[in-house]
Amino acid sequence: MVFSSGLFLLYFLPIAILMYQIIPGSFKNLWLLVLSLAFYFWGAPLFIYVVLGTSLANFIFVRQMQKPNSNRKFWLVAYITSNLLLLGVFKYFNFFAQNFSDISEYAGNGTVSFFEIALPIGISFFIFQSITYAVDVYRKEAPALNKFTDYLFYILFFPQLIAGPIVRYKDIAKQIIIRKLSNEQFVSGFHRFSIGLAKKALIANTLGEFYMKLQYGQGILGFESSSTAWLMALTYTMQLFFDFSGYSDMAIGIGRMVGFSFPENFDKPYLSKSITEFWRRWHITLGTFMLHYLYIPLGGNRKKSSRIYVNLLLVFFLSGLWHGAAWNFVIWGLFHGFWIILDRLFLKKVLEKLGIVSILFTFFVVLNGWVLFSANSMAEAWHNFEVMYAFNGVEITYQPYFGYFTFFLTLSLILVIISAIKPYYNLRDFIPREKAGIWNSVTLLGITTLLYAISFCYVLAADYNPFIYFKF
Amino acid sequence: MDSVFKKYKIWILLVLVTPLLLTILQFPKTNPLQGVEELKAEEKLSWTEGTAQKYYENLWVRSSVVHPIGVKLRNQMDFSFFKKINVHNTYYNDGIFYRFYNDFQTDNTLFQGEKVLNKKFEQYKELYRLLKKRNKTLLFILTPEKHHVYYKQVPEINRAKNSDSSNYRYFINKFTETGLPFINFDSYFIENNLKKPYRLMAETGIHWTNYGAAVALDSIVKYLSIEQNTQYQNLEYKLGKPVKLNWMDNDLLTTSNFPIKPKAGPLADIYVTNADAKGKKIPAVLIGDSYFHAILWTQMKDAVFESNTYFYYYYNTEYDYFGNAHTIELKRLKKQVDEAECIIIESSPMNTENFGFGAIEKMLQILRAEEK
Repeated sequence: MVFSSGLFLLYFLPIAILMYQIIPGSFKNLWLLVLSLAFYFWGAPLFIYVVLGTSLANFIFVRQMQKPNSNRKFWLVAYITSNLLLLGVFKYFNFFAQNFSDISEYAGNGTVSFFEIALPIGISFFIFQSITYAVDVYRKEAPALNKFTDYLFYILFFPQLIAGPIVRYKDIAKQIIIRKLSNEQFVSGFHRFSIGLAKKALIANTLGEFYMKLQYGQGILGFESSSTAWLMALTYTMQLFFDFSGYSDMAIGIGRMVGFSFPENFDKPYLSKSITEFWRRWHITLGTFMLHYLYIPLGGNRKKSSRIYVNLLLVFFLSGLWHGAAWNFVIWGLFHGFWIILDRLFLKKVLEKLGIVSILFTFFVVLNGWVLFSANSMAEAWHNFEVMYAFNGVEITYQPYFGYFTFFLTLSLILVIISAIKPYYNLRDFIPREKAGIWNSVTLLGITTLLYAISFCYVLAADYNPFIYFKF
Repeated sequence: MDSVFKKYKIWILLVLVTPLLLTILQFPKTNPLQGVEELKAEEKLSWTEGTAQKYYENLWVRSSVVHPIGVKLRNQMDFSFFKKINVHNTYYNDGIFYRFYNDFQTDNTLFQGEKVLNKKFEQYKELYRLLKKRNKTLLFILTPEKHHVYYKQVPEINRAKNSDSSNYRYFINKFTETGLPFINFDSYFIENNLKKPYRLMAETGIHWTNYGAAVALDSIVKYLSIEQNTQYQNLEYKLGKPVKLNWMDNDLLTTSNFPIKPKAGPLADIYVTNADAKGKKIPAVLIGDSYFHAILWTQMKDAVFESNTYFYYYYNTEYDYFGNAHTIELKRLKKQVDEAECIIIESSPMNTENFGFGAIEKMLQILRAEEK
């Protein structure tokens, strides 16, 4: 089940929100926990037991850590090690086993067969979230939770379980126990949710369809077009942003509707003037996690330059690997690490003087990075680059409804550009004129309702594509 | 300000909950979507593999009354703003609905070459000769193609390059040369579609309309009467404003499921007046594609064809007079050909790639064996 599905919008969300209004305060968290368990169980009935078992073990570890005279560091290390081991086994076993098999074959010893392990959905997110709990408690930045159900609720809370934002425990610790839900927060939450839904259902899905059609068209006539390859890269760049940021908006919106303030995850990333700035604006919560739980513990900026660069490469290597168990993700991570180091060496100072050129340059670098990210393998990524940089002058392969798709691509670019201006933020955060905003509150509510209604129709119709002669 | 937000909150709760309420109350009653396949469960639904979740998710959403409303609104928005049709392989241009593969592919790029086509035509000639020996007529009819009849509105990029290198032009030339029984409805419809009081081929459909089929069938009966030297009962019908059109008249529009339909040329219902008449009807074997459906699933069939008429659809399916489907068997085909007075092979220009749909070879097999 995903937020942009008929099941979620038609059944799950209305029941969740309506009942949340009715249920007395002491049971609200329990209700959200039940919903979260149901949400995860629907998507991964086998793995719910992994999550429950892991969470129980984690909770016990931290309880042990909190005991007087306990060896806190031991329990923290045990906690982090066991969680990373779990992540390593479920997410990376197949990757390393396949590489081992490839090396064995290359060495002439034949392939090695292995038992493939299935990947529990959301594991990357809930493991990282679990780690923040233990570390924040260890650092005494937030108190440990007394009830296992509260801990489970923090780990499994459905808005951010599958795709983030990665919510640091200390940012949310107080809200788990006590939170106030104002009408304004509820309204702005639903508004944010509607915007996210529109980004996903109207823009990202359309761009995704365009990308698939372009990909199908490439090579269909026996040769590949550089123009099409660049168009694919641009389409994917925009699709990924609207998909991911849309999902984050929905998560933030739902959180707000039940009284939570989740951190922002995207802040105009495609208007960044350098890769360094890009990583402060793209998937912010991952960057924050890596900064506070990896980079700073490794020494941060306090070490000598060569060590800083090694640490940066390591952080981005792991970031890449975290995104996916494949070499193209690793190379993508290192690609960004490389540019970050260049920024530190000299590039950022140069770009600061170039104004809009720096934005275009950074966008160009990021777009190339997404070519790596979107490929199914390094070979495919390399091939895509070859076609792109051939500049072979072959026309874009004709696409039916080309105007329709390029409209949405253009719209996505315009939205990215105008996201720098105040009316956009007033719109996104439901800041009415009465609160020094630009928009009348009725107008904002009207936009909310319209976006939700249109997106709802598009979600319901998502699987509708009848074949005229199915009868025949 | 808080009281204002309270009202907004109530509004939002209403917006969220209303579709669910309507689903529970099964209100309003909506017409089901046209042209959509019924949801079928896989044989074994698995919760661990996700097939059960997918099935129930689709079932619960599709069974909601808001589902057809949402689909129709989405389709309407896409069409009104972008002229986009959400039907597989279909597009819209300048008032006409087309299928994508109706265009340059079928006219040129699927050309099979003279060697292949010569062989097919030789087989056809032999079949004609063997049937004629048995006092049966073999007739080939070329049905109209959408992008021929509405050629002007085909987008430039889809236009066929005028060339003789196409399957259907090959057959037109050959039939014209040899004088074998042949009716070219493609050129007739191009010439007459807009001249008639009602459309012979709708802007919004893929096949001929019921009226177009009636006009064609009328010609077919008269032609066969001459060939067989028999006075077959003509089709008699009245035209009227449509009460409920046969869905094939504008099948693309129907499947598009728009609440607000775009304007199109006038269509007519056909009211057959002599379906029960006892005149001499044609016992036939019909071989073709979906164009025949406009005749066979209506009273036109009853007025013109005997009850021992059989319809072969593409390569694999045989329908009896009552619409029951069977797999093709040579033994049954032999009996049907023996009883028939006329064998009609139909093809649209696009489908001349499948000329005869394998039936010519099967009939030859039967008749050659009899000759031995």
